[in-house]
Amino acid sequence: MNKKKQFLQSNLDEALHQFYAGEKPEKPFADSLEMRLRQHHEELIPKDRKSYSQLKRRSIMNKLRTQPVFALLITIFAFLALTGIVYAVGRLTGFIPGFGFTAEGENVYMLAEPAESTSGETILQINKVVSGDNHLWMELTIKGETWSEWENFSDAFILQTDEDPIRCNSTSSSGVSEDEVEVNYEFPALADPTIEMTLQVENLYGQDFTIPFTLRPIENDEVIPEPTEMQNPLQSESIGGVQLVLDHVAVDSDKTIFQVSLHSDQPHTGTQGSAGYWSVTLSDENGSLYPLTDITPELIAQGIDDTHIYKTIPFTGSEKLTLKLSVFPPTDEVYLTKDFTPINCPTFAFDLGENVEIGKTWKLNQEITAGDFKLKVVGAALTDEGLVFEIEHDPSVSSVMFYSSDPLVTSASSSPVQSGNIFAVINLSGIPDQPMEIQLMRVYYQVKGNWEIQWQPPAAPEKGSAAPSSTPLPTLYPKPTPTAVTADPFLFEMKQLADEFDAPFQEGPTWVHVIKETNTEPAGGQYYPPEYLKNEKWYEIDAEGFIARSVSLDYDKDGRILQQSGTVGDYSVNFTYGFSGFNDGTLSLFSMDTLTHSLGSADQYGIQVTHKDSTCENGNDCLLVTLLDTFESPMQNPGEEQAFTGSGQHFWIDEESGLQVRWQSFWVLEDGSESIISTENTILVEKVNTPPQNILDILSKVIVVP
Amino acid sequence: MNEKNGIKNEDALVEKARRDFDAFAVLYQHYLDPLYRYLLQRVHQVHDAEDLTTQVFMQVLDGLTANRYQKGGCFAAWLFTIARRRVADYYREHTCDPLEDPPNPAPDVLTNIEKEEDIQQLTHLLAQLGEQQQELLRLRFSANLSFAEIGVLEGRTEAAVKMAVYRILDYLREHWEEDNE
Repeated sequence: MNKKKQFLQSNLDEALHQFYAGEKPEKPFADSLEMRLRQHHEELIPKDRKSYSQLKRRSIMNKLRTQPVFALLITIFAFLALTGIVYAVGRLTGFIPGFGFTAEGENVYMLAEPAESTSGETILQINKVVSGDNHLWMELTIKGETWSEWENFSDAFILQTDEDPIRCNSTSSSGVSEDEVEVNYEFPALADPTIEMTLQVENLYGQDFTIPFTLRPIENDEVIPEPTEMQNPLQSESIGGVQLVLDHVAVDSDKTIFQVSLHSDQPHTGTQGSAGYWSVTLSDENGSLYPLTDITPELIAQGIDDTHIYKTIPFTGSEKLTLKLSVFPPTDEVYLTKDFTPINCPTFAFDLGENVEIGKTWKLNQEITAGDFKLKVVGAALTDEGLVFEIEHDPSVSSVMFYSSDPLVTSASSSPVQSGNIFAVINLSGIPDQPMEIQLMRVYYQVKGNWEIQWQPPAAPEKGSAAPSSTPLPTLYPKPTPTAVTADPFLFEMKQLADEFDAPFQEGPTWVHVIKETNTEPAGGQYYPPEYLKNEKWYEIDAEGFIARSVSLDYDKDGRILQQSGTVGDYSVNFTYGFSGFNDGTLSLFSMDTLTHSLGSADQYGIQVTHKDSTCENGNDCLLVTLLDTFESPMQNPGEEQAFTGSGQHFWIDEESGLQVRWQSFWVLEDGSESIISTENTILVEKVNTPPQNILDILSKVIVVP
Repeated sequence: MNEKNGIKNEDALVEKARRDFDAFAVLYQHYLDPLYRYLLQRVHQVHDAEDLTTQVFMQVLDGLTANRYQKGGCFAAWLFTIARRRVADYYREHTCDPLEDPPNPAPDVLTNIEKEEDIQQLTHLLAQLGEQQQELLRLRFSANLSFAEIGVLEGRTEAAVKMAVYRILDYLREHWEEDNE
């Protein structure tokens, strides 16, 4: 290869690299997404239930959240119990599982009868169809295929006589079992749902399917009705142009379903999905919190962060309720974006002048008024990235995005707040020699407030409601106590030590107060858990040593409560988000032992166990037990100096008391050193006769739904 | 991921990620950039690429905790299968609703360009490739997938993928040189 050719190919390689691999996600986005995922993981796998053998004992709440089919079946099963209320056929207003709420007077049609088609060993079955004035929703089952291999480029159409094919708007899928997949399709509304039609699915697992089906008007037992008095939405006070709106309510004898959304009185305003999760809490006059389960249909939830549908208990109609917006991580601010179109965006002229070079800076005094925002551009700099504008600090604005239609502009981005001011970047492929018109395209901002709706709910049609107090729990059975009989003498010894510590605390009835502190090495701007977290737990222990009730509180370093939850028997309510649900239907013995379970399953997972003598922080003799999971080959992350060769946990056990005083998780690096992820110290374990009144108050607000 | 930079033994980590977010965070940090780059190549809008990245990782997390990912499978191929599914959904939604949102500022793929002419030349050449060929390049260079992983994703053998990619690169080289002569 001659030199010219080498040079050319080098240019090609570089161009390929720049074209395909030159972009990275912005750090604030990457960090906040990681935080959201962490929070979501906590919801899916509660903190106290992460041990291996407990993975399959997932709560009904988790099942409902992660298995829409299960949720759907349960909800449908529940509304089959509806009793005789007569509605105009085909024009029923209310909630239809999977579809959402129908509008007032909407023409609604359902699948007349299930239909299916077989190709090879694959069966495609239409189970449910709901056709409304605005869209059509369809649920299908694919039998004989696995979800992990679901064909991602399949396409679906509805064909009607003499009409153009109607193409599917969106799709979601989930695995039901090893050889069964559930698919949801959403189509645009049909012009005439009364005529025969055909579903055509192309390239599904490499095969095409054609299934004729018909629709019929909805019948009165297929919708959870919306009371006429609730068909006007209730709204919170508008704060910063943002309102919490109770859009719809549907009532049944055993449940109340409602839809809430965040509305803005300004066009082109939306929530910053990546900046946090919002939910609502529902409380009565005394502050008792009603349990909520998020049942937002997947096709509504997909990509839309402004609407949630919840299920709660039936009401008598006399309750005075408060719906309150709740944001996580805990804050009283809602994160929003305001977009400006090229037609209405505020602009200013900026002239770089002649013979400018990278490094040049300008002092500016340019005011921009955009709706309620008054921004002041105080400077600009020409850098390797392009033009970087500096905007004076505004406490309500977290970031802005500028743009220019100058042909040399390649992209624009916002930059994290630095030294109090805000920075906006316009990337350039060259230096413009003409004045540029700079446009304000987007403002990222937050609104502080307290969004509440006072609401007197409609009465359930029959059966009455749960009073705002604890109701009897279903019968709970003790969780099988791990047997101390083991062939492993070390495990036996550790179990004995742990049991010795636990024994006096299991002598009930009594209360046990536990405080732990956790220090976490935050990963890439991680918001939760924060670097320091204090967890306080109060356990009510019954005469047999089982936990009857408990309260858990998370505090930050300033003592602010980040989360609080109450558990009565097996039923938990998170007071921060309003989520609730049963756990695994068993009662647990009080125990501070987290080691022996991990030890018991170490063999199964090929985890190496070692131990040595150490000294506790209080000077007592401690046993340091280490569990080490070594990877078959190192794992290297981009940007990390060293690869990980394994992960592990340290447990420090006070040999005198048997208390597991400290727990630490870590990565093992290539050079053998440990990179600490998290350290948890047990600060206090004490028996008390009575907990503080505020703890009893929290428990009194847990409303158990049988 | 290719063997040079990637996670060679993902099974243990993926298994751990089912119950341990710190393990999931390693997967997240490892795949965030390639996934985002791939999605940005497909949808061209930063905001949409961010939304899709969020959807994909949420679905992956749901799938892992619900045991939908089969042990011993190819995690990268599973991740990008989900990503391609979300992109297909995106285009279905956007063909029906193209004017709802204000246009985003720019096609953000062309940032940090010092050799704009090279990029323009490359863009011109890529436009002459078929969609399937462009997808192979996106999977190879944006998603940073190995030939074997692309093979799993595309239902082709590793050798067939490798040959297809090399043919495309040969084509690009040939025409790159022609254009520069």
